[in-house]
Amino acid sequence: MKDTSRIITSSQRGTVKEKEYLPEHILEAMTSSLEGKFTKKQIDNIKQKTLDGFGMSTV
Amino acid sequence: MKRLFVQGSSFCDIDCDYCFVRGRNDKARLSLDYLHDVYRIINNSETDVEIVWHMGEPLVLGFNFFKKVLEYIPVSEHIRHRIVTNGLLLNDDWLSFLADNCISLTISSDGPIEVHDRYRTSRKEAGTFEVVHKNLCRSIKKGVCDSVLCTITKESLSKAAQIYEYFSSVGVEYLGFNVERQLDSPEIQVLSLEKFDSLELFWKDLYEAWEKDSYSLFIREFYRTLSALNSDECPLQPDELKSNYNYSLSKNGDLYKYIPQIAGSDSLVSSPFFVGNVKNLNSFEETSELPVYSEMLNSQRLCSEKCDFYRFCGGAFVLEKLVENGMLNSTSTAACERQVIQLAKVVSRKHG
Repeated sequence: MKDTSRIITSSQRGTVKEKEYLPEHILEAMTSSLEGKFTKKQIDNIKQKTLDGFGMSTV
Repeated sequence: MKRLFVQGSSFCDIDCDYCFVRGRNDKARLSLDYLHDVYRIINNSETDVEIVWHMGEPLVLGFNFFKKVLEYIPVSEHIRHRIVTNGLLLNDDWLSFLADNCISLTISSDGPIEVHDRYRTSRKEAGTFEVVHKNLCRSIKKGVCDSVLCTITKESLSKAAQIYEYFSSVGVEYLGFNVERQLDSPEIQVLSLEKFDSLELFWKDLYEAWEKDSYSLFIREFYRTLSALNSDECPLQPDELKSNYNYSLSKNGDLYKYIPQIAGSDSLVSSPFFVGNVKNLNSFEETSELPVYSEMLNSQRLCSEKCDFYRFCGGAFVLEKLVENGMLNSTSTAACERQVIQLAKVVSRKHG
């Protein structure tokens, strides 16, 4: 059975929108690259950590 | 949420020329007794914790060590483990163990063989690419590796497109770039990047390779830079400047705050960040802000007032200010020039 919990629709994207100011087509492409592996919640966490992660060499 | 960087051992099975970690020949390891204390501290604290095994090669500690780690500090809704590895020891047993126990993996790779093998070598100066490449592909296929970190060296400067093509071809989803930099003292490492080397051409070539590929990799540096470029104010809140967020544990049980790379550096630079030994602590929150924290915030304010590129980094690079400039009360460093300013200029030109 297909695991639909990992599929993200366009309307669900962008919980960290207040900090996302990327051109839409770029944001869409970057987010899509993560969707095969991560859940929506995980992707939001990744984005937040990406914005705040200066100072150490991890995700 | 907090992050605790743990140095299980400073030993590493390879000998990268640019590595900043001290004691890479020292096989002493973190006593498991300290993990009892770490778990007690985590349980007495108020937020979730991600434990990042780093600063030395964690996998040399072996299966039995990490099995014990998971007994002492089990993965839960509030506790996660991440291992940052050079990838050499990642056989099928390790991959199954990591997958079965939900341990996240970050692999260090500098890209194609001609770049990777220039600095990421064994103690006999043999290249490590072939093994790392094989293990990187296997770990991505198995869904264990969720991110790759690539260090930019002098060898990388003219090869951005090849580096992008390599990571894209092996199926990396999340890619971060670190710029080779001096983090402790000059005598412990060989830096290939010299003061006059610019990364602007590298960032431009990398961006164009990414653009040509329809932005299909999540590249940490471009996400940050584009977010900052298109916002009216700084959208970044550097972890190292957050109150009670970053901690690091050295193998002797000493706990440091704010700047993760400090653990195990055993230098004068590290002393203002020393919190205490985990044997004597009960929770993360009981540690009040250290005197150096107000200096760090003042330094951040200085950046916000004086640097046109403040919104692209939020006043980070605290350690670099200390090492390069000898004081926190300063702004520009070679690290921020290369990793932030030159990148911001390239991306700004691309987006008018």
